[in-house]
Amino acid sequence: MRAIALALESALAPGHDWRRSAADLAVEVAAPLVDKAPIDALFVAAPSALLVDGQAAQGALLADRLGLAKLPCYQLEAGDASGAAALHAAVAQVGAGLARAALVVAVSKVSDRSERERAALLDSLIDREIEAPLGLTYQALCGLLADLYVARHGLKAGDLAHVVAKNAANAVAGGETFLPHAPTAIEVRRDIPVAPPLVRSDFAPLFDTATALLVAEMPLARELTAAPVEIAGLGAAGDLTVIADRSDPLRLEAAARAVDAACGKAGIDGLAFLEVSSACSILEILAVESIGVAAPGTTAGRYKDGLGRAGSPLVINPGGGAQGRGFGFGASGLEQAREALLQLGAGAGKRQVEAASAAGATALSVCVGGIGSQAFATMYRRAGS
Amino acid sequence: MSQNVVATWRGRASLLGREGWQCGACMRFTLARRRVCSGCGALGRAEQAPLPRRGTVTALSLAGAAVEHLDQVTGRKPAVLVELEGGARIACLLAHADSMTLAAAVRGQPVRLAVRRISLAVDASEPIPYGLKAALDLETRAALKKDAGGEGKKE
Repeated sequence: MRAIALALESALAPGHDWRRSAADLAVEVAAPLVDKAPIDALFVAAPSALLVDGQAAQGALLADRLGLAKLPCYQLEAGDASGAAALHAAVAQVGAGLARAALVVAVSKVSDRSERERAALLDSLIDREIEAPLGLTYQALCGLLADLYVARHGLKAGDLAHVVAKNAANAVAGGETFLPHAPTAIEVRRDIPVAPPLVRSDFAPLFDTATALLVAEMPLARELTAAPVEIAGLGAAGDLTVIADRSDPLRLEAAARAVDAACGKAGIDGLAFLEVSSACSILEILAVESIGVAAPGTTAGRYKDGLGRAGSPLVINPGGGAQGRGFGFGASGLEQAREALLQLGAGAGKRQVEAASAAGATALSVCVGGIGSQAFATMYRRAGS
Repeated sequence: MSQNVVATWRGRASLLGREGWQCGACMRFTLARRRVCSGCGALGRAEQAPLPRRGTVTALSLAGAAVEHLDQVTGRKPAVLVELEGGARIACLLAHADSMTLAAAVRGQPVRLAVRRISLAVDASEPIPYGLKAALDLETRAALKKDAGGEGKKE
């Protein structure tokens, strides 16, 4: 495959923006890229559109509003991992020579609904044939996994709080966050139990947001920016959607397989940083352990000791991930790639990871869909001049 | 929770009949019917079979829904993960969960699968959702209530 790179990025700060529609968000986030680059194809991730607005084919609508209606437009639906799926499809399109530059836009527009209805959006991620009729919800299943994890490894429920504390600390230090301050693990433990042992802040808050990235063949990317970031590997995999049917519910097999495919023989050693889904604390823990960054049962303790925080040997979610920055439903996977473009490219400001500035530095993002039913891994490399 | 009438009718064997799927090659039980066995990879060997009725609770969560700005959680439902005899596993709600103290004590306890009402929150025009729940034996309930300091007297 030809050398493919991320060239341009744009993102909106997550929040509750009742004044603007999904199309408004898409235009605001993507217009700066459309104005700069010769775009051949559009890839859209907007899984909330059908559930919140009743809008199918949201990709066509966004292409219309962006003035790109004549271009080929593809909409990818992989639940909360839709952004990562759209990115992978765009890379494949450019890699196959079907486009020189592809625009990827992810939009999360959820604030038109109440918090309870937004929770129902998460419930759309579980197996609706088997799990939902049994009365289970996304939060209940995450709670069960967390309880099983705590019991299996002899931990205390409060140990999980180090995930939120780490992500919040990175987000507040990094400057892109909805949090007024970074709660400590002790403060997180005092939060409202939502699905014990998980508390409210263990579930990343769903927000309106949008992210746009330009994927281009490397020569064009170099024309558009002095600091493109090469896509060094892609991997995607799935797993059984019924959690109880999995051999080990505490192993995210999809994440493990996706990372193996993306990293190949190089493995995960030497990464400048890692982006991993933090829609729920237990999912981040299980992903980190399933891909081999930490041994089973040790992640919370290692986070407590500093792993993952800014300045540690491996920074995990330098921007705070969905828990620290805010959760864009279907946009978080693209947000991971945007962080990689900033960190390995033009710079991420005060949250810049030092190792990411080195020549040839690499980073990995792991976007987990639902409760591990899908995963998309992307390896990035700082492009030399 | 709203349940589609046709989907309920279609899934009656698993929801009401306590049926799962068993691979004819490796005998692995699963809740979903799959073309390829997730255990041994056998093709087209899944056959509908009664799920083992008894098992042990291995995980519990009292999951509710957060209410924005009110710092409250409503509609708590005890969900359990149950290791069934014969190697099957199911995640479902727990029956007899009117006492949260009782629910919190069920880890490691034996349960059986029973058909129970899943939810009260239904529209009058919708069918009442029934499905599988994990239910404690009378003896276990009595013992847990005793350990909980007589909370069961309220029930």
